[in-house]
Amino acid sequence: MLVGMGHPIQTIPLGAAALREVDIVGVFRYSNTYPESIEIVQASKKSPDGPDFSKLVTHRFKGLEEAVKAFEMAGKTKDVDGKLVLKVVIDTLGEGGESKL
Amino acid sequence: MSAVGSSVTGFKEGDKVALEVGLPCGSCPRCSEGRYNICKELKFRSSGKSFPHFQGTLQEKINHPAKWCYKLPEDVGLDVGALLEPLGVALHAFRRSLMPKDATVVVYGAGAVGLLCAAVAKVKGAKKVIIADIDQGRLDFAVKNGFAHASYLVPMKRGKDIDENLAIAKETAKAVGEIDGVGEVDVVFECTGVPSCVQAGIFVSHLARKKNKSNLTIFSVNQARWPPHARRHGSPHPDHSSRCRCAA
Repeated sequence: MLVGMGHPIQTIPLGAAALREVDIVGVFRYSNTYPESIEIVQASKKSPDGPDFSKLVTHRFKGLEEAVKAFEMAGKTKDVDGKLVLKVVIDTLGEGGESKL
Repeated sequence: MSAVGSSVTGFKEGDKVALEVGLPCGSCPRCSEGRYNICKELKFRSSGKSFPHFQGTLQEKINHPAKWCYKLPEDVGLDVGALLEPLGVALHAFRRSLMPKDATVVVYGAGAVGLLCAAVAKVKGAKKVIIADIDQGRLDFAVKNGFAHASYLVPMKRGKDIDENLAIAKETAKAVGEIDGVGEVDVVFECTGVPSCVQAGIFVSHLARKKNKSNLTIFSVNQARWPPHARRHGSPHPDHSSRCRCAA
């Protein structure tokens, strides 16, 4: 499944794929996924070994004025403390409107 | 939601919602078969793919059609609501993979999308999900938080020509296959776009779809492979959502 979009033109061992009937399938974004995605995150919460999706948000910034900082952070793989950077949230809700995980 | 249009039903002010920010034309052949993600007229917020650009999501208030808003249940917060977008990519990849239950899976790349692909494969019953990356920290994160069963640290190695690069890709495939004795795997999710990973992905795959009807080798980005409606509603994945919004 080709999910990553790095190099549009590549050299690949097409013969090796064809001879073993390996299917190479493109993936572009999504369709009709949101309702089932909601079910997946709900089910994972209830399962003891389910992935903890909320952990993907590693950094957050408050307000659009912080957007530049947020994008700079999102462009890094680790922050200044060496902590992993995965998803960066910009929270534009007013005071008292913080999202609850 | 801060305001709701007069003809909109099912939403009220104060609802927490996730937005699907791509607006397709709704009438072309792709839209008609439910594959609106590859609609040529798709306007997608925060994407530079088409011109003129559609206004992005860095706005405090946004006017968006109710059709593309999804109400979040009480137990799903706004942070996780924001993750439904990249999670959609992973779910779409899973659906297109025809992955059977108990499959063995390799995911190249442990960034957000790779992690989500691994997570979806695991949630959907993969027997073994191995995630591979060049960053040990990301791999540790993946295994510790339940996104994958095991991991493989890909060594930074680059050949001087195609032959050397293919040899390195074969080595990587072999090394990944040695993790928990998994051998050649059923499905590979390539989430890096890096040629060496695409190559290694081919070498580590076996008869990917031997359990399914398809015996074609298909190299395609946008080509229709099966009617998505049948794909979602027929066998191999009877677990589709009954609330699916497909147009067909």
